[in-house]
Amino acid sequence: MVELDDLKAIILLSHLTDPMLEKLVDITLTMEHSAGDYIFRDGDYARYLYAIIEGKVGLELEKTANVPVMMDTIGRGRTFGFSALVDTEQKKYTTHARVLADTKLFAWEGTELEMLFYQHYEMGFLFMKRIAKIAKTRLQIRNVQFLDIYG
Amino acid sequence: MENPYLPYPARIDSVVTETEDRNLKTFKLVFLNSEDRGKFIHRAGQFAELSVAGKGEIPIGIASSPTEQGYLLFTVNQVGVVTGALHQMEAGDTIGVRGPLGNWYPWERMEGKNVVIIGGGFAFTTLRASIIYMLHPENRSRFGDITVIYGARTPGMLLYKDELAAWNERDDIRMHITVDAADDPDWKYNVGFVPTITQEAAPSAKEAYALICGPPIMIKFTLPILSELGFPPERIIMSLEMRMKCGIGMCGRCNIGTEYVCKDGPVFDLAHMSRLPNEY
Ligand SMILES: Cc1cc2nc3c(=O)[nH]c(=O)nc-3n(C[C@H](O)[C@H](O)[C@H](O)COP(=O)(O)OP(=O)(O)OC[C@H]3O[C@@H](n4cnc5c(N)ncnc54)[C@H](O)[C@@H]3O)c2cc1C
Ligand code: FES
Repeated sequence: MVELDDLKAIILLSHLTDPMLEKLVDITLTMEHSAGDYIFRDGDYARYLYAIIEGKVGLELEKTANVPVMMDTIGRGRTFGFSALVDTEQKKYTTHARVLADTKLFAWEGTELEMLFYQHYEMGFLFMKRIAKIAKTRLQIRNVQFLDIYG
Repeated sequence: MENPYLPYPARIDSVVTETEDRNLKTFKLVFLNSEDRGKFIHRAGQFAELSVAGKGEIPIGIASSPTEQGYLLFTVNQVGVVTGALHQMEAGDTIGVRGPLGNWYPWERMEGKNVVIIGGGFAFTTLRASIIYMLHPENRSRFGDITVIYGARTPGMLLYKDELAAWNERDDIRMHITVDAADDPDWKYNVGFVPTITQEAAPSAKEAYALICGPPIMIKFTLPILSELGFPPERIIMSLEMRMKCGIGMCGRCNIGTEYVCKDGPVFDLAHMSRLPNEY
């Protein structure tokens, strides 16, 4: 059984009200993966949005064939797999997601989330607004990293 | 009274190239005159002026802990005339050391408290001195939990790699090492920006001090996270790197408002800094 407090520990969900989180509980899956597993690979159909309850996942891009570069590691409370929600036609993941340490996740099927948001506009608005903020912060951070700040 | 402008002569004992771009080197210095060793008593957080004959003098943070006796360590990034000349020098060469200068991290206030160390790039030098100091068997019990968050561009650009790996194995210090990107398949730490990793590591602000050193833009993104975590401004401690000349509050080169960074700093808490004119 998914507890509301566990959902509140996810940064993306921390602004939703209890009644909204209760609606989310019904479509929340929990999954476990072992270190070394790939949760998805670049180009796979983007079915789920994920959030980490425990563990660590690395997002990788292939610089050239079979030469992956890790772009981000996602730990407790953070979310990945936005393609399941924000792509409109071809939902495809754009990185590999490799499990670095045994990981417990929440997962939501993108189409189910969309259905929920059509029924509950306010919740959808708050959810997508938060996604936009997280995406903006990640973009800002990428820009800063692009500046090669450490000298 | 001794002339405060007079450097102590020191011999370069060894030089270690720290980073894959070969632009950062750590110099181990030993005083030529053994009595000078007794006069140079520093605290972690202080700096010294290093002089190369015919080139000039530059402020550099002291990277060794006061508990490492008989030598001093300085890690120098090659950017210009004096740092370039230093990088040409080898073991056996002589340079001048003037100091110790400036204030230090507030060790008395931090006693009994948890300490969160946040560093980026080559500004990790006095933080290394602080970690070594706190981990010393005589000092470890004087501090609570120690958490370290340290970031660099790539794994090869991290300083003090062997020490980082050794600290990572210990259970009395929590390490969160991170880089901007990693193409090493065996990379076992984090990838991401220091502020993000700080948010993820979420060190408790309860009875805790944060020491933060790094590029200004890293600090700018990290401060809001520390304050979200509940760190009050007087428990966020920073070290400033202003242009300096005399290092002893005489020439006026390094002032911010009425404060001289060389003498009143370089270590300030955020509460103090927010009362200064925004020139740093
Ligand atoms: C308290 C303090 C501690 C420091 N600790 C360290 C350290 O541990 N390791 C280290 O490598 N450096 C440290 N620095 C910075 C170091 O002092 C400068 O990089 C050095 O003075 C440059 O001298 P140079 O003759 O090689 O460069 P110059 O030939 O004078 O200048 C070359 C380039 O470096 C820039 N520059 C010069 N001085 C500074 C400065 N203070 N800050 C930023 N950019 C500067 C110039 O704008 C120019 O672009 C510290 C500075 C201070 C004030
Ligand atoms: S460097 Fe001379 S007053 Fe600070």
